[in-house]
Amino acid sequence: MMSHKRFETRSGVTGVRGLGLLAGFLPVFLAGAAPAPAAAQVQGIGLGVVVSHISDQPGRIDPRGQRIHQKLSAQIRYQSLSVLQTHQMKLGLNEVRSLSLPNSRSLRVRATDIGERGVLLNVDVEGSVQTDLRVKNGHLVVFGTEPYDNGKLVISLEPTW
Amino acid sequence: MSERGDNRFDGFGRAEAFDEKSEQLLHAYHDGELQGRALRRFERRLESSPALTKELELLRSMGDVARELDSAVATPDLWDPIALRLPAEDARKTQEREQSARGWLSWLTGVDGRMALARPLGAVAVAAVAALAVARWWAVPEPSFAQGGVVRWMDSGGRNVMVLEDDGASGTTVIWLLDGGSAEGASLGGSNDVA
Repeated sequence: MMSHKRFETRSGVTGVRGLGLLAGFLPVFLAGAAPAPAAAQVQGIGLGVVVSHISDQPGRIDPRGQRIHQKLSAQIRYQSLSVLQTHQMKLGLNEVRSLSLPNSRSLRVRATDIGERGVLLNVDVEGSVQTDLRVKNGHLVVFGTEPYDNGKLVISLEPTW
Repeated sequence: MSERGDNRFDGFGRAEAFDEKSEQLLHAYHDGELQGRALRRFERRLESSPALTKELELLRSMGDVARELDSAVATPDLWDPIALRLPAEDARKTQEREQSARGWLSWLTGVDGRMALARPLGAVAVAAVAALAVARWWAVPEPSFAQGGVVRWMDSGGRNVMVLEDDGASGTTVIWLLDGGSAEGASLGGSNDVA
C-alpha cells in the first residue's frame, strides 16, 4: 500500500537580498553550507538503472522489466513494457554520473551522503524532474518521465551498497 | 554600527543623515511599492538628495548583479559542471537560508537584513552575491523531514507530478510526471487519478 501525494513544484531562483554585510560572515556562511562528511565505511554505491518504455498498446512485458512491472502495474495502467537500457554503475560520493536516454535527454545522478537512513541521491531527469531522494539499500525508485514513442519513458533506480 | 541616523556621503563627499524611515521609503520606492502622494513626495526628495539617489542607484545595480547571477545559473554551458547541485537548492531551503542570513545581519547590525542593502559597499556586496551563489551550489541537502519520506525535494518545472511514496512494505517509490497523455492513470483504468 502506498500513500499518494500530488503536487506541483515550481522552479525559480529566489532573489538575492540582504547582501551588504554578507562578506563579513562569509566564512561562517560557507562553513554552514559545506558538504557533510561521508560514511567512511562505504566505498561506493552501486546503482542499477533500467530504462523502459511502457505503452497502452497491447504487447509483451519484457522479462527484464518484471520487477518494475510488479511494482508499477498496480498503480499505473499500461499494456506493454519493454526494457530499452540497463546499466549498473558505481557511484562515489559527490560523483556525478550521467547517461543518455533514448529520447536524447540525459539522466544525471549524484550521491551526496550516505547514512543509516539511506543514500541521498540528487537525480536530474533532463526535461522532466530534478529531485533529491533519501533511498534505503535496495529500494526501487521509478520515474515516469516524458511521453516517448506513443507511450512513456520509465526510469528505475535501485541503489545498493 | 547603527543603521539608524547613519551618515551617508553624497556624490560630493557631503554627509547626509539617513533615518530608518528614509531607508524604508527608499526600499519601498525601489520595489515599486510607493503610490500616489507618497510616491510623488519621495520623488521630490530624491531630486533634492544626491545621497538618496546614489543609494537608489546602488540598490538597482545590486539587483542587476543578482539577476545576472540568476541568469548565469540557467546558462546551459554552466549546467554540466554544476550538474546536480541545483536540486540541493530548493525554494524552501533557499528561503530558510535567506532568513538565516537576515537573522545574522540583524544580529550583526541590529537592523533588518534588507536595510543593509543600502550600504554603499558596492564591491563587497558584489563579492557577497558571488559568495552566496557559491554557497548555494555547494550546499548539501539534508532537510529535516520528520516523516522520513524518500522524496526530499523536487522540481518538475511547474508540471504536475504524482508521487507514490513507499510505506515500507513495497520497497518502491513512484515519481510520475503527469502529462495528460496516454499510458497512465485512471483515464485508462489505472488505480490512480492522474488526469
